[in-house]
Amino acid sequence: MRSRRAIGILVCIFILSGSTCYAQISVDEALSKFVSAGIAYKEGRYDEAISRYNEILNAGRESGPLYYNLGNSYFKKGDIGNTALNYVRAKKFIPRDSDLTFNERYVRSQIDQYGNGINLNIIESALERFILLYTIDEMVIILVSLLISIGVVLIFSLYFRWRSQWRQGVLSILVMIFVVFVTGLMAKVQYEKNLAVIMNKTDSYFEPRTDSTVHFKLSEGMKIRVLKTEGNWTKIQRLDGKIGWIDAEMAEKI
Amino acid sequence: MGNYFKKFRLSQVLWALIAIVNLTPSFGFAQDISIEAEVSSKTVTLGSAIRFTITVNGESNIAPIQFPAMEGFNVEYLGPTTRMSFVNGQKSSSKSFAYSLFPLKEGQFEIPTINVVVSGRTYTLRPIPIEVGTGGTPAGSSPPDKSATIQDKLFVVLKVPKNTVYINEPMPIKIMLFDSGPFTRNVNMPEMNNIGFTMEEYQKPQQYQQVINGVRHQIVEFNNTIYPTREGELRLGPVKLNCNIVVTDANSNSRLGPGGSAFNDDFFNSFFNRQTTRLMVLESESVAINVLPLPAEGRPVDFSGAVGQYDFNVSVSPDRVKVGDPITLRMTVIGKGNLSVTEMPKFPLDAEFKLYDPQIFEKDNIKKMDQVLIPQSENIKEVPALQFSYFDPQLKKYRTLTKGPFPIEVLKLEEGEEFKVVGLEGGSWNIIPEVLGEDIVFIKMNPGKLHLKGEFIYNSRMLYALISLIILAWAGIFMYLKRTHRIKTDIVYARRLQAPRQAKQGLERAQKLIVSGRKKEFYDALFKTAQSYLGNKLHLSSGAVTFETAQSFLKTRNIEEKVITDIKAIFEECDMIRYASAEIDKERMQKSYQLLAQSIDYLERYLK
Repeated sequence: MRSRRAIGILVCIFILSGSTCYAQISVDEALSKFVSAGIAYKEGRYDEAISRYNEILNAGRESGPLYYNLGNSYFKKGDIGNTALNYVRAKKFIPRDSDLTFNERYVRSQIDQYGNGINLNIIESALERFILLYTIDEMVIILVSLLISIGVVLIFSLYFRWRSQWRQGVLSILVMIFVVFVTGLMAKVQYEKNLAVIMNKTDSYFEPRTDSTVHFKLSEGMKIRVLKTEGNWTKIQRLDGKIGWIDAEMAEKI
Repeated sequence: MGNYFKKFRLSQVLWALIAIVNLTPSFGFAQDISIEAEVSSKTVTLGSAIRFTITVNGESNIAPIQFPAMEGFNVEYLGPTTRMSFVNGQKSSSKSFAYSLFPLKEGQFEIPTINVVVSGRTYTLRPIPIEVGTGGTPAGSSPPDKSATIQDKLFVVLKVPKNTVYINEPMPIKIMLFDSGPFTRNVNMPEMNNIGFTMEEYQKPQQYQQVINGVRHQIVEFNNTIYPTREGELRLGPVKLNCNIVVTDANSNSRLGPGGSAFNDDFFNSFFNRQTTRLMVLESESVAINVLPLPAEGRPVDFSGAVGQYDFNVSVSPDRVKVGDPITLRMTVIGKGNLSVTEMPKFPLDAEFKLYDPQIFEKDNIKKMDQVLIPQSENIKEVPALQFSYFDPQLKKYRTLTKGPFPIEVLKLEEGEEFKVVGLEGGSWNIIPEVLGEDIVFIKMNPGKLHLKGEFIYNSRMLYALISLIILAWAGIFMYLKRTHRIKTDIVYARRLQAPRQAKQGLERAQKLIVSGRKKEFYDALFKTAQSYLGNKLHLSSGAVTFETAQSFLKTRNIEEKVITDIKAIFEECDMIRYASAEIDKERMQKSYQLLAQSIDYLERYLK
């Protein structure tokens, strides 16, 4: 009896230990700061709005609208790098929000683009659109639902003696969707893991030294992929495929 | 006159003057650096330009030299030229700065003193006299009453038909460019100071020639119409006109001297002289315009604000409709005037019509308005008369044009018919192009779910526990159903599956019979249990199972001989007790029971 209770307690600790002790302010406190930041923004006190929004973030709470509003505040201050960074972070939470999509496009139109742009084939382009359509949590929920659905369909088909073709057809469709979402989830995790935004206009070098040859330019607010970091230098890849080294402080991971 | 002019050219076109100016450095003499100033000609005629070059020898890293203001000339910087040479291993370099000097009037002028700073030292270039003559008069000959200027040859005039107009009265204007040489090219559209006036777009200019005071002028004429928008003394203009003029460089290409050769004449000069274009901004005089207010006397109540001469037409169609059907009323105003500020007549609101918003079209000197009227009653007999009032500046009085009334027939609706609500049939929307503002969308007032950083479903352990549970439940249910289904469909499997259970029940019953001491029933139960178990396990008919039938199957399944012997013993003992009475005690019964239980246990483990 004692051992059963001990196992139960261990299971509970295991499950609950996922939620780390991050919270320094309550939801109500965060909400209060959010509202006061909104009022400051309305009245054109953008510095104060930025400060309030950052207080919420520093206290360990985050949300899509919070990053969106912070991005707007930085935009009003003319800080394109931080604007782009916060819009990308907001996209992790509210990827289909039309206001965010509009603002992100507007800000992107103000960022200098170098090179010949990004050339994606049809599959890459479709995958990119797909992974940007859902949050990781949404993908996980869909995958769990698909897992349950596959089980239910299998059990129903056995219980109600479905025809073998029917069962195979339905299960094939569900498994196919499942595979697509698993692939998308993996791609999305990889995409978000390496994504970063350039905070200030800078040059990228062939080698991690300032006396090295400048390879290409990077503009403020441009999205890049971080390949690795060595000391104060980060190896990055521009979205058109060009690879170079930049000062690690010039890029901020999302 | 022509010969005289030729002589003038021959005598005045000197050596291409190289004025190596004595340099007077302010602070000592630079050993390696020297500065030269060169002018292509010391004489020039209006309409030609001379080239002035400053050359710095021994230094090439110099910023362009600022040319000081020069009276009577328009100065244009042409650009630098750098020369480098190696002679006997010695490197020498020089940099030249060229300027084009274009005379604006006749007379004696001089290129002023120019200070040049090179490597921290200042060098001073002495003034150079320049003589400017007109194209037809030798410079320095008998002085004319007034010095000729470039403006005498090239000028712009703003012409208005009268200096007193009424407010909003259309007034045609002309902007004329007179050019008697140098010839203009690429004349831009005029820019006019027109505060207090509105104006239309300039039309394509007309070009023609005209002889004025014995001189042939090339004329470019721009026409437009202006409308005064406020009363009082206003000034129209000046007009600025940007154009390029063709300038001949007065480059005395002959270096043979005044004695000259056969090449030193006008033909060869014009052949070798270089022609360039030069931007010129011409400005006209402004014109005073007195703008009068419209008279208050006789002003109609419905005065539309139109000033000019107009015609007014109205059409109504169809003239036979049912109640609720649309009638299109079209008003057209044609005339010379500022139509954009002219209001169209308003349809009386007290008439028994339902009105839709009018559609207004304007093109050239025609303004149209289409309005849809819906008659509300069959008692309507006419569309009322419409009036258009305007002020005629020629007659200096107001005029009113009246059209209508227009008789129409409105039919009563038949039973079941309803009012139609329609728009402008066949008309097009008056879509006005607009320029949208650009900015970001406003912030959000709802923060959404403010969760802890890193608190995502995908990294929660609850998720993994849930997934494990789902998979386990899913596998468990699947296996159960699969087993149930097999039991129903596979009789061999079903019998094998129920063999131990039935055996267990039989053994339990036998155990009870041992306790109660009922020997016969005990062995009967023991026999049936063995028979039923082997029948189920070997898929044989239970009633037909004897030791002999079971033995052959057991041997093929590699069952130990001892077990087969035990089973044989059980069968024999059961037969013996069941069919012949024998003294059996409980101990023996228990032994038989144990034997069967052990045999079944063994077969459960090894009989596959």
